[in-house]
Amino acid sequence: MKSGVFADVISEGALLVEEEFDSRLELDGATVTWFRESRRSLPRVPRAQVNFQSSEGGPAIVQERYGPTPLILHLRDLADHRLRLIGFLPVVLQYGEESVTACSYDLEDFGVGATEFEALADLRSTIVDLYFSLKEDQDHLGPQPQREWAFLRSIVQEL
Amino acid sequence: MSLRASDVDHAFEKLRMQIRDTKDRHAVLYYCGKRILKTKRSFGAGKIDDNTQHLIRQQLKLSEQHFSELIGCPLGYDQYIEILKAKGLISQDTQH
Repeated sequence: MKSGVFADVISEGALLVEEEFDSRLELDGATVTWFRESRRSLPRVPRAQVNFQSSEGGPAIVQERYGPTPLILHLRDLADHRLRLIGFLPVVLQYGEESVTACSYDLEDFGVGATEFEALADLRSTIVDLYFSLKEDQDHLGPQPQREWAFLRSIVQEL
Repeated sequence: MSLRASDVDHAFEKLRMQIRDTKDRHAVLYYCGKRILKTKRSFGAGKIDDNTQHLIRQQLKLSEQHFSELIGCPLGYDQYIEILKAKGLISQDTQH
């Protein structure tokens, strides 16, 4: 059964079905590693990495179904003279074919750019904009923006 | 699903979102005077890549199927409001 799935893995370019594998399996000289913890929230995380040795004993081949592994970093500054970050804001950088996105899952917001720097700059300005628009609407917030506003007030200080 | 900026703008319009243009195009959904959710797209008339598309869909709180229906047109404002009510983002007893 697993050999059959493995054959599909090879023929389909590492298109795998998570339920058919444990988090790490050795299959006929192949290692299949799942990045299970990020499967749901990150669209382009490599969900599986398949390493297998060719039958002739040639070099190992590594295939990834999705793009490069996202980077997680912490913003310390919003680059705006009106606001100061008083905490660290976790940000996930994800790489698309032609752009990079910088995403804050706490604020459910993101920035986009051609480079990491552009994506982070876009995210910073989006957060600044979000802060002031939530402040303006603070007496008329539904449940989701209420959570965002509470979180923003916990990490942002007006100067 | 290949998505263009104009498709996203059309979706914002269908969902009666308030648009504000800064460096990006921001769209906010208000319902009965309350701010419910927000999303945005960058400027540029080109294709919106998969990552950004995914994030817009998440901000709109839609499944992949509902998002496809939103772009493809069957999903309209009333059905969208019902989806948000079912998800607890709008109080069930809120009426226009």
